[in-house]
Amino acid sequence: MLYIFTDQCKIGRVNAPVCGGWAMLSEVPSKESILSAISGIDSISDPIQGGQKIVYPVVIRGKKYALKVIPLKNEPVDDGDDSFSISVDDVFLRIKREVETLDECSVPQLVKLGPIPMSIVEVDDGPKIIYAEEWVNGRSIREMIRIQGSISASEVVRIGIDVTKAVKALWSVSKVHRDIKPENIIRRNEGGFVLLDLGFALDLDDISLTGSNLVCGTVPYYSPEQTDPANKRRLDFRSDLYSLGVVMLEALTGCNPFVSRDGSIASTVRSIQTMEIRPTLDTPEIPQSLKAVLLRMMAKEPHLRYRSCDVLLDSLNKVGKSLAGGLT
Amino acid sequence: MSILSQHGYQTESITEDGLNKHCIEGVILSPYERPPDEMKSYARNLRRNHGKATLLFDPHFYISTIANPNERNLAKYDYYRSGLDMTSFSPNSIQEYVKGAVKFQNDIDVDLVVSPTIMVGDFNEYQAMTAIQLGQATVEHVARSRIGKPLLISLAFEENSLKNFEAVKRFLDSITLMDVEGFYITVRLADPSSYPVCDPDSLGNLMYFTHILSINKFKVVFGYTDFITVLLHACGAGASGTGWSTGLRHLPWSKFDGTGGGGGRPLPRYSSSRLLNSMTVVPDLQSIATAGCLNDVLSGSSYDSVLSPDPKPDPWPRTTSCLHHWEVLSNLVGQITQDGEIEKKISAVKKLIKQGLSTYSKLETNGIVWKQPSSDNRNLLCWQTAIDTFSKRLRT
Repeated sequence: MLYIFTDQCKIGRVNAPVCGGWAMLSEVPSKESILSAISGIDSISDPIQGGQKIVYPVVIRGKKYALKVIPLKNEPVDDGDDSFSISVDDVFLRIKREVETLDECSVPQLVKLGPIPMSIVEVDDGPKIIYAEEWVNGRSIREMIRIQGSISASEVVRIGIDVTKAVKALWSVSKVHRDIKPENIIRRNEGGFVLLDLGFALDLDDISLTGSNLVCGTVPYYSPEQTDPANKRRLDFRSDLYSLGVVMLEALTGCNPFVSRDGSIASTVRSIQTMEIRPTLDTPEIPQSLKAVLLRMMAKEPHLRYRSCDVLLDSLNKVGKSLAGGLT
Repeated sequence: MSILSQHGYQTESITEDGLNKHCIEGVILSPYERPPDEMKSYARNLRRNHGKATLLFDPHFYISTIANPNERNLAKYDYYRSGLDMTSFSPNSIQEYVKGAVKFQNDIDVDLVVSPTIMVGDFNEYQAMTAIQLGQATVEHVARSRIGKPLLISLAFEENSLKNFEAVKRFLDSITLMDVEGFYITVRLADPSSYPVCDPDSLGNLMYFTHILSINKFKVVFGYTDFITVLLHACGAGASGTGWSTGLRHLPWSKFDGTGGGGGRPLPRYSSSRLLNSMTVVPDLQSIATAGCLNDVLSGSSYDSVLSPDPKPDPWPRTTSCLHHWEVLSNLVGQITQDGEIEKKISAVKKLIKQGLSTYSKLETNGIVWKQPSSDNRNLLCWQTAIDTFSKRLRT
């Protein structure tokens, strides 16, 4: 049995799919099935892994898009003591929310929707949610770090500015991304960075779509308040700014300071909650002015961070100007 | 803004003098002291005669939840409501209170609008949420009605509420998200009889509270303060109100809830920048002069000459006492806020405290016994502990 992926959020004893996932390769619809189910597609390429969804590169009216396909089915979850299921309604609402958010936030730092609106179609005898997004040509920060080892200070400032603009756009519609990490930030080939994957975005104005004990995101990029499930409804954009700070630090130094050597989630969480970050920033790769901004972004308490995205943007722009050569 | 006149009973002419002599920069008006029509004409006169003065109006809405309060003129204000309890704050009623309080302030042409609030006894309790709702409703109303004036969210809390640091931090997490110019803060002392001494941990947490708001670029204005304003300015406060009598130097809750006695006319007091405290002119200052230590406590204000070399109460009427008090505080605040860095400002205050304690020791050696316990050095010892608490908070 070949597992492709199941998106999971892991903390403590919780280990649960949060969305409809693809359990087996045989369940992934073929290109032909997609073409016969959806009209208007000029051409389609082999599917690739993309967060919670299967992504098919497609060409529609001569332009490339990412066609996202998500199975719509109940997902039983065994949580040790309690079993529960992520219902079809949950999956649908989650994707709907993500699509609506993208529709509401038209900034270049978030992907745009494509010409196929969100809908449910029968593919291979099963209901699937489908929709198209713009195709982002580029490389993720994760890949950049892997290839280059680290990223220059001026480019990291650019990452900070662009992702902060994305966070600002999300917060303007009361959303918190909750999963900012190097994999979810792409540098466009034509320049600029884009924040992907709003699958975990929390809508503070709406009902919760994850169980009360579930913590979503990727542990080494959690904000301290994100590590406590009880805080879920208290999260705000400052949690995202914290995660962005961790990404920027990792981009500068090539490593995430909170990942424990033993790889245990518990010790990573402990580091996030208690580790003094200042010594990690005392490295020649980080200019003094950027260090001050990162310290503020990664403060343990939300009230010690920036009170608004605009204030952070001002600071980052100043740092950018102060760096020799300016922003890249 | 730095030192503001806290509006009190029959203090209008002192305020005028203070503004003329530039030892204060504005006024925090009190609806408790004047009925609406008189308030309007007073504000108009201030605006006409002192164009540069900063005018604020504390709505005193926190009195509305006291059972059987002494409201004096408050009940004559349209926005004010008597006898509210925690069931009185539905979204609609909050809108109503906010609308009225903002309208009156807009009518008297204040420089900064102050939101109505209620007294918070515990940041974990429902009152704290109601206070935030009142603030947020004011933010939205001011934006909607295009008032065009900066807004200060009013916060009133009991000293004991500051003891729970975790709750203080959570409250800060909430209020630092508000899109406002700043905050107007009043604190009700747990034990007014021990004034000016308070709980040092609560004070340390208040310093943290002030510092956090300040680093988030909020303007922080304190109502009803005394020498403690020096400490609060070191932490980032931008202004504070204070006045002639003790009742204008800490929130006079017993006056509002009717438990305070009328009392006699307060004894004339002298504010000493060397002791960071005030004392009675007779007998305290007089006995210090007799002991040959007068120069150790004089503040060097423009009013000192009337006391030296032989302090008598007669040349120290309340106007002089108040003007001197404002000048002393203004000078101290100017002295410690010269340097923008928090560490240096706190270090400057520590130096003042050390100097004050040393002067107290000298006076004690010379046999000085204070007429009132409030004049002794306990407030400085409290400040020292509070600074330690604050420093610990910053480190963690």
